[in-house]
Amino acid sequence: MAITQAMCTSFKVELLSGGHNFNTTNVARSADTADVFKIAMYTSSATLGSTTTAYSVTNEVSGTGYTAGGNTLTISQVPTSSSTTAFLDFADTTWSSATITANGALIYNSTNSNTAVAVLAFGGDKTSTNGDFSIIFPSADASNAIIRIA
Amino acid sequence: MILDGIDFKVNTTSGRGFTPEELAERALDKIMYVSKDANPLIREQAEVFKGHIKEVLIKYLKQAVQSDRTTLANKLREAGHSDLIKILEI
Repeated sequence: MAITQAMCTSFKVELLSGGHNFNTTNVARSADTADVFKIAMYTSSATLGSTTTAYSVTNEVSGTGYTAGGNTLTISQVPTSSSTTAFLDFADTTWSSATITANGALIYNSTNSNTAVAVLAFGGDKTSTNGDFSIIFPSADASNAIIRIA
Repeated sequence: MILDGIDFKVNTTSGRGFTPEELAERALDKIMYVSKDANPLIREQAEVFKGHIKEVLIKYLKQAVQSDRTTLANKLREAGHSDLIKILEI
């Protein structure tokens, strides 16, 4: 059992198939509405990595202040580009007044059948006890943004 | 090519929330990023400016906390729980 950080391979394929929409304007398909992306957290018993294809409740974190399925992410930077790199970013997310222990997380598209986007490995157990548990995403630029295509 | 290098942080607290100083540090990382490859002189100036911005953020975050406690104290008073106001350390 291990959580290995990765951009899920299925996500890459689905991107090329138009399976994920992060933007609110000039959307090629249907209405100008971005898909809903969520982040769920998992215990060290979970097996997650590049081959993960969808959200699962198996070994998902449970505890005070955490609801199955995780938090809905806010797209803080809609898809844009700088030089030759396209990127987007999410706003930081926090579970408040939470008593939980997590070893990693999965970003997934709840609009598109909960398909996986990326796995975040925390590098060990992280715990909050009657406190705040925050995942802080990097700066929204071509060198650091959470999702970049170069 | 999709980049797999994902850089993020996980911050947790126990028995408390985040302090203005901790939140200011996070906000600062969003406001400005100083490249490790920047010219040393420019980098130095940017770091000084970053430090100044951090102090401003901390000052106003603390003020926001204090202001919210004032609001909470008034709500407690209006609800007849004046004895609980001292917990807020106003």
